[in-house]
Amino acid sequence: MSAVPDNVVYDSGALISLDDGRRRSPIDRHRRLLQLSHKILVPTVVAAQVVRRPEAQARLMRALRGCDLIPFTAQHHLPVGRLLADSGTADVGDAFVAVLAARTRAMVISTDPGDISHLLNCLGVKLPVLAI
Amino acid sequence: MTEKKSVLNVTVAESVAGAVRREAAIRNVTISSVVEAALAEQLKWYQIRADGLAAVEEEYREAGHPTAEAEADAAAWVEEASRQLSDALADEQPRTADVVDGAA
Repeated sequence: MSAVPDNVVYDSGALISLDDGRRRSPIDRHRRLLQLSHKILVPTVVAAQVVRRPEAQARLMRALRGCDLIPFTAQHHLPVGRLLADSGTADVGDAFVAVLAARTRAMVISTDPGDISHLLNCLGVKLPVLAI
Repeated sequence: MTEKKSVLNVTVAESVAGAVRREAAIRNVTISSVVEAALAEQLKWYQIRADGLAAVEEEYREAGHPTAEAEADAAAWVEEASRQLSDALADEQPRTADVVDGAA
């Protein structure tokens, strides 16, 4: 166990997994992260990609209560846009996840580790991207 | 309107005190403002953590609590994730400093 709490960024796939009632391990891992005081960050644009009917997504809404929602602000459009150009990709949510992870030196929890790893590589940053 | 300030007498490690003084000098702000911002950030995380754990408990009450084996699996997964992050940060290249500069 690390002495200092880690930063963790969830991408949209991680949130979808937390919302999936057929799988128990994502919520168990989410709880363990909180128990160890790790800081879970979720870009608001990523949450918006997943939230559809909050009244019917109790698991997701509960999971988000343990996360800090990070807004997309005026300081993000340039680095995110540059990253999309450098990576040849078009997903603003994924690019914001990568920029946020780089800035906070966080691990990324994702269902598509390859996509996020490609973006982190384009930033010149080596951070773990783990499948939840 | 600016909120009225209150005085707290706190004791911190010399290394922390030095870091606070350096940060205040770099940002050209008072030591109090650095300490207040750090405390506010930490208190925010305490609240998020408590609310998040309460929310998980609500979920478990509806869907059932995890088995001891499932809890052990989750603990092992998080431990491995932290190890990978620790290794990655230890191997950080200088260029990372350019990317990570600035707040989220």
